[in-house]
Amino acid sequence: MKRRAEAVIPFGRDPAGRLTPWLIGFMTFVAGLALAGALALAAFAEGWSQGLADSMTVQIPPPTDEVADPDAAEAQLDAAVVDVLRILREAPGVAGAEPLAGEQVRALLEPWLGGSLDPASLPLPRLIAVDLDDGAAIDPTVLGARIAAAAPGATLDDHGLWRARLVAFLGALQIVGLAVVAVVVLAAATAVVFATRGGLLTHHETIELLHLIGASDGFIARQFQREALKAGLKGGVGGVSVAALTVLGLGQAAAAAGADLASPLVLRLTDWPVLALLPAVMALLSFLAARRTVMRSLKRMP
Amino acid sequence: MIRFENVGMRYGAGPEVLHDVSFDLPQGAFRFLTGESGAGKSSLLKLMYLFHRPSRGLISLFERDISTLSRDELPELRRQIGVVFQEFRLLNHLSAFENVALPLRVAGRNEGLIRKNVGELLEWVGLKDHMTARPATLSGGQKQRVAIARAVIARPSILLADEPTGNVDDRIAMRLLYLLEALNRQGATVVVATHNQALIDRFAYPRLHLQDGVLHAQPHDGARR
Repeated sequence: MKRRAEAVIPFGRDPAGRLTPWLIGFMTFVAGLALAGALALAAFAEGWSQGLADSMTVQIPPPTDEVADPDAAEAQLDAAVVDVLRILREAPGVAGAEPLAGEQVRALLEPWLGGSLDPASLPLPRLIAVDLDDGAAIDPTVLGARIAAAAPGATLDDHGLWRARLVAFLGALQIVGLAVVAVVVLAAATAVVFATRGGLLTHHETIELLHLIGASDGFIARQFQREALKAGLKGGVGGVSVAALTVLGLGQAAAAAGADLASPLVLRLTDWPVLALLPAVMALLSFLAARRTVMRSLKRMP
Repeated sequence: MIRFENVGMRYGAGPEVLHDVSFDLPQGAFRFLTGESGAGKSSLLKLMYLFHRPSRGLISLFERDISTLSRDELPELRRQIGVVFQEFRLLNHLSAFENVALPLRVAGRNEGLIRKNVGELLEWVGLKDHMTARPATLSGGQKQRVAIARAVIARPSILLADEPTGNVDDRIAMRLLYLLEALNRQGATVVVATHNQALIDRFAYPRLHLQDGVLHAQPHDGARR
C-alpha cells in the first residue's frame, strides 16, 4: 500500500503558522518595492551621469565693456565663437562641437524669463555644446585655459559639480531604499523567530514525545526549518510577484504621463533577476532563523 | 543492562520522591514494578527512559554511566529503549501506521524498510485493517496496541510500560502481557509498572516494589527469571 509520509508536527493546525507566509508576503512586497526603487534609481543615476560625462558646455559671455555698436559686439562674439570652435575641434577626444542657435538659448531661458523675451533686450551669452568621444580623458582645466585665452571670459563647464551633486543625492536615496530592504527583511526574520517560538510552545508535547523515542534536536529542527522554508518561499514569491506587477504598472502609468517621468521608474533587464532573488533570500533567512530558534530552545529541554 | 545505585530524585526544588534506589537488571529480565499510586513508579520509569536525570546516585544503562552522556548522545540511547506510556501518548494527527513508523523515521531508516516492518507489526498486533485510522477513531485496546507497536518497532533492548493495563479490560490486559512476554523471550529487558494484582499473580515474575519512594525487591514465588 502506497502511503505518503505525514508531517510529524501538525503545523497546519497552528494559527500562528498559517499566518507566517502572509506576513512574509507583505514584508517581501514592501522590500520588493524598496529594492526596485533603489535599482531604478541606480539605473537612472548611471544613465544621467553617463550623459553628462560625455558632454561639456562652453559659455562665451557678451563683451562686458561698453561697445557702442551692437553689431560690432555681435561680430566680436562671432569671432570668439569661431576661435573657440577651432580649439575644441582640434582637441583630442572631442567628437564634435556645435554652437547653440539663438532660438535654442532663448528656449533654455524661457522657463525662467517667459516667452515674450526680446532677443535684443538682453545680452545673451553664446553656448557651445561639446560632445566627447566615449571614455575620452580630457583635462577640463587645460582645455578651459586655452579657451579662456582665445576668448576672454569664456568658461568650460564639464558638468562635474552637477554630476557630483546628482550622484550624491541619488546615492543617498539608494542607501535609504536598501536600508528599508534590510529592515524589512530583518523584520521578516524576527516574525519567523516569534512564529517558531509559538510553534515550539504549541507543539511542546509532540516535541517531548519525539525526544523520548530518540529524535535528535536536528531532526526536530528540520521539521521547523522545512516549514519556515516553505513559508518563506510562498510568502516571498507572492510578495515579490505583486511588487513586480506594481513596478511594471507604475512604469507604464508614468510612461503614459510623460517620458521624463517614466525614466526613474524603469528597471534594467539585469535588475529583474536581482528582484527575483528576494524570495530566495526570504526563504533562506526564514530557514536559518527557524533552525537557530529551535536549536537554542531545545538545548533547554531535558 | 540497567543498574541503579543509591539513586535519589526530586522534581525541581521539591522533596525527594525516590530515595536510595538500587537494583540491577540483567539483559532479558522481566520485572513488575509495583506500588501504591504516588509511590514513585512513574518517576522511576522516567529515570529509566532518560526523561529525567537523578538528583544523586548512579544510573548505568547499557554499561554506560548516564551522568557522563552529552546531550548529543542521548537520542541514540533512547532509541534502544521502547516505552509504552500510561496515556499512550499517540499523535492524534497521524494515522496508526505513521505513529508506529515514528521511531524508525527519527532513526533515519529507509522508507521501504519502514513500510515493510510497520505493516507486518500492525498485522501481528491485529490492526491490519486500521493502519490508516487516526487514534481518535480507535478503541482503548486498539490505541494500546498501536502504542505497544510503536514501542517495539525499532526492536529496543529495554521495554518499559507504565500502567499499560490501566485503560483496558482484563481480556486485553492479558493479551498485552502475553505480547510483552513474547518480546521478553526475544531478548528484551521488560519492566512493567502496574498495580493490577491479578496480573501480577498470574505471571510469576519478580517484583520491584516501591513504597514512599523506597524500593523493595520481592522475588515472586516460582519466579521465572
